[in-house]
Amino acid sequence: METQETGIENFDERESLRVITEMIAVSRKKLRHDGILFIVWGWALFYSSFSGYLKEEILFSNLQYKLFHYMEYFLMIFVFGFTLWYLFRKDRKTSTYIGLSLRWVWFSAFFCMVLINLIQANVVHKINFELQHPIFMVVIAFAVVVSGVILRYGFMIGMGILFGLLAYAGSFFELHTQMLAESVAWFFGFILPGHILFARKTKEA
Amino acid sequence: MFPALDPVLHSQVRLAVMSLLVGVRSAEFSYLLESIQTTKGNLSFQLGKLKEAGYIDIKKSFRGNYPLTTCEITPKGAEAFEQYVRAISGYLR
Repeated sequence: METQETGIENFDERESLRVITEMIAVSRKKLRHDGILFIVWGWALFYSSFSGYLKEEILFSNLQYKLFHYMEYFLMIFVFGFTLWYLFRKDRKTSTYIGLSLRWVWFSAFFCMVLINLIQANVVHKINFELQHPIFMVVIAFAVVVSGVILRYGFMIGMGILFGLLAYAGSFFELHTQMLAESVAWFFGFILPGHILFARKTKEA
Repeated sequence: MFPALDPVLHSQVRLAVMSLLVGVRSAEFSYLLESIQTTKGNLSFQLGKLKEAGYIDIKKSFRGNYPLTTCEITPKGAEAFEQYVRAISGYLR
């Protein structure tokens, strides 16, 4: 951008409008959400749910079962570590209200799930996983819809609604079938919108 | 009669800075520099003018051993920017 050290400039109103439009376009391009966390969490949770289904439906050897099981722990540790690094990394040059809002939505969803477990333990004196999974899915569906609204991303809103419907559909079945519905939900609610966001960001970069 | 344009904002670099800051919570000096593509000296000078007018807050800190300047639009600045945009829209109508 052409500069003048004095700060006294004789540019007209059209020029002002051009500067504003240009800067809004720069911000939009640079601050576009990259969807990385949706991709990483999506794949990890897809694996976790799908392997939960496979472990019940297909007869595994003890070694295979353990491999699947430990892989879930490994993935969760990796995803938590990656999330912390991503959220608090130091090369970030801006802080946006969109980022802050998304962070609060997902922290709140996480704490809601913790509270649901605690309430369930108080009321029914055990954790009923067949009840827990659909309720957690509803909380996540809500967070996906709100994220879509914050990002003004209609496809994500639609996928959040689908996530909720899959939670309801899953509630008709036993736990292992619920896991299949859950893995489908992770794919459509997280992985697909995440990859589309990422592709858009890299295309524009 | 058209309203007078705010002289603090009626400058390419200052207007560009405000247009960038209005959409974010805060931005580092390096982000503004690479987005606006001006010189470090000029950007510092123009940021000083905006701070003087009370339109932005400038926080100076350190990241490791390097100085870090972070800018944030103030409510007064947001209002002035809004009025400026309204004024130029009136001119162009």
